[in-house]
Amino acid sequence: MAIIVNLDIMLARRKMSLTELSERVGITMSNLSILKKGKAKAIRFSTLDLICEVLECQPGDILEFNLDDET
Amino acid sequence: METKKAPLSIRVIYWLTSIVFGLLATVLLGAIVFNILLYTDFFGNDMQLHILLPVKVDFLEIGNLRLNNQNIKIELVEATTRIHFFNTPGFIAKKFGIAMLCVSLFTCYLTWTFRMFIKNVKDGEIFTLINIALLKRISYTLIGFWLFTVIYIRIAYYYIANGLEFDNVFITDDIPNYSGILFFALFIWVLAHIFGTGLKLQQEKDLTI
Repeated sequence: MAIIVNLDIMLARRKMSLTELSERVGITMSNLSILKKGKAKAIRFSTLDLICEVLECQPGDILEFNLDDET
Repeated sequence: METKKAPLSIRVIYWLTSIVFGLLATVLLGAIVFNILLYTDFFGNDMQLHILLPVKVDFLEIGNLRLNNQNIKIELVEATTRIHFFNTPGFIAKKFGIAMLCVSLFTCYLTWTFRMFIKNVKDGEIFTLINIALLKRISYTLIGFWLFTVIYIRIAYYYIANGLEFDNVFITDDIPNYSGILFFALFIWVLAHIFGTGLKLQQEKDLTI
């Protein structure tokens, strides 16, 4: 897929662990892990909203479009 | 994770299927024992066998039908009947014993497969690869059962019904084809494909964060 999830980069920038993000946004670790690994098929606006709020960033900081990565 | 209890109707169907499967398994066991006894000539030629005639018989019997305090004159023209052998020859009994065993096997296997499917539904595992495989298995078994029934009926018709001689009873030529079983099998096969689409949707839903 050409959409890349940069959640791990944002977590590193904010010095936050996946466990802490999970607790703060109320999404299970397994679901966040699916999202982080780029295995998710879709992301809800509500989820994106929560993540952006906690990480204090824009959706564009988490999601990136890269045509070279399309498989 | 909290598991949602299945609806009462599904649980009732599961219990009923379990009971029916138990009964059919007993019948299958009985059919196996019966065939063993037949092939060891335990019954000899003394067995009194009742066999359902695969075709209807034409006969004329005039009578009355009492309805709404009225006597309506009617005539019986066609009926399903059974053959009663006073002393069943061993070779006939063996053939019907095998047919009985095959029918028992088919019905027992179908009920067992359906029981597994309904158990999965009861446990909340609906759109899964296992359920799709189970539905396809039910469909193919039903097609096999239909083929067996059609072949059996034709063999029984040509070897038994053709040889019957009565003065006032005539065999009709309408050999049933039990197309209902075939249509049901095809319906289950289509259902399996619908479940395949359901599985894809379920996987998409599971991967939506």
